[in-house]
Amino acid sequence: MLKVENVSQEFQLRDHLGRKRVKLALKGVSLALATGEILGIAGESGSGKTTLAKVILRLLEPSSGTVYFQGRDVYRLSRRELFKFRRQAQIVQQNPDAALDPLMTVEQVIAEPLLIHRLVDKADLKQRVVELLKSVNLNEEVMAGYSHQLSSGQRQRVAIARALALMPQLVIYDEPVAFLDAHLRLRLLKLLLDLRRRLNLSYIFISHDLAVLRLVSDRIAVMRNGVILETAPTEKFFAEPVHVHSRQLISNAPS
Amino acid sequence: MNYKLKSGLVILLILIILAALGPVLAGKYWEQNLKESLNPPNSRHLFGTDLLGRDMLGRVANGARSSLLVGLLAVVLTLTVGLPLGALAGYFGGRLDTVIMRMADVFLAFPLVLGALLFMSVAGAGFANILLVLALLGWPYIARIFRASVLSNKELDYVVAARALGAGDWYLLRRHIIPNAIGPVLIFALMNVGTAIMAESVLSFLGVGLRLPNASWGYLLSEAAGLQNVAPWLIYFPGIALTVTVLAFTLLGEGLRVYLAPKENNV
Repeated sequence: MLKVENVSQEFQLRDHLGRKRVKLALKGVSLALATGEILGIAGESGSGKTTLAKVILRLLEPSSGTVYFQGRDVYRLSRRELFKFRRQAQIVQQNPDAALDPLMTVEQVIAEPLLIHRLVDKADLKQRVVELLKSVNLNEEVMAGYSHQLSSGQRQRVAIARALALMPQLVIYDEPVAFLDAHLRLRLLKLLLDLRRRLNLSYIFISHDLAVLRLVSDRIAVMRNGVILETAPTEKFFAEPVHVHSRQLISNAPS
Repeated sequence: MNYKLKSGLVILLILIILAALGPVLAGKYWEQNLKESLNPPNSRHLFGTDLLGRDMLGRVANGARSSLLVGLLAVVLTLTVGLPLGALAGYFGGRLDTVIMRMADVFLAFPLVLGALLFMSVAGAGFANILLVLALLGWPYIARIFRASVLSNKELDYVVAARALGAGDWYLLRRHIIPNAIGPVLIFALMNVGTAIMAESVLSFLGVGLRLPNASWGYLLSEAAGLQNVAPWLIYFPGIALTVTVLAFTLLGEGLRVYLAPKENNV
């Protein structure tokens, strides 16, 4: 359903003397994702994982290369088609504390995508928000509160409910558990797997934590310095990693 | 609520009451009575009388109207121009940003009083012209601060998330960026009310600001100039009123900044 073809992304930086420097965040990245699949992307911070996520969702235009979603070039969509694409592909960001507008109540946050896309009538809005909260195991009591009144784990689940409100086919999770306590991680991962099964979703799961990826991914891609070093089915990846860096990552990860 | 905010509010409240009721309570402050010329403060005229025997309490209270009105309206006008331009420059960036900010630089090059003096002597004294010149020279500050604020807000996670949800530029600005970015600039604007009142007084003092019947404090001070050795109270009372008012808006701005800044406080 998703194909990333030879995507490169360069950022122009200036050093303290004003000299131009080009930083390549992505260098000729290609990957593919099948419907219903979970692709794990592993890599250290700064390896270009988040940039790749933004490029896939057309939140950041790549310097070259392109992205195909269900056979269509994401960067050649008309306004209306882009609007539709937004409904089909969603992101859950790394830091739940920054992902929610501090001036909005939980109800407003989750209602926002529904209102933007006019998916429900005003009368059914509240009911739908409650349903979405329930689907991520949140009580409807949190609805009237603001994000700063929630715990990080609750915030992350609100962000997930917001993404799922549009009933997307693809969700990109950018380090969804990095900011959570260990005991919450497992619960959230189980929830995500459960949601995928129920809603028949495809995930791209970005993490620096191989233990997490091993648990959720069907396939794993390893990134370093903007390059995908290798891609392999999870079992095979852990059994016989090809690249030196992959072996390092595996040996560094707690099993 | 901190003490700055509280004291600022209290002073402002007193000033507003003074401006609203003072002229009524102080009687016919505009009536001239040469027999009462230059009386020092006494039980009938708490602030004394001026050269023409007019009650200074009434005149100072009446001056509060002009001064507060000019200060507040000037800042409202400044915001009306500065906020949209700052938001556009910060959000869209690129050439639009360059054009708007270079335009701002042109106006920033004028020192406030000098620029205003120049403008007023060409355009002529008067209420509307004062507002115009204060807005003209004041909007770049607002635009600059708001631009920076919008710039730092537009890359925040929840704005990116909203864009991924399908929100358009105007929606993002209206719903997420502006409400979250406007705090600091409103505080700055509040403090600017004092500056605007001060500038108006300077202009009126120099004779290119407000004219009768809008006898602002600056105008009262200009009348007192030359009489300071004979009737110092003519300077004291408008001067104190002016200082206290500017202080009130500074306290309000400061207090509000402290009150709003640590978001963590209300977790």
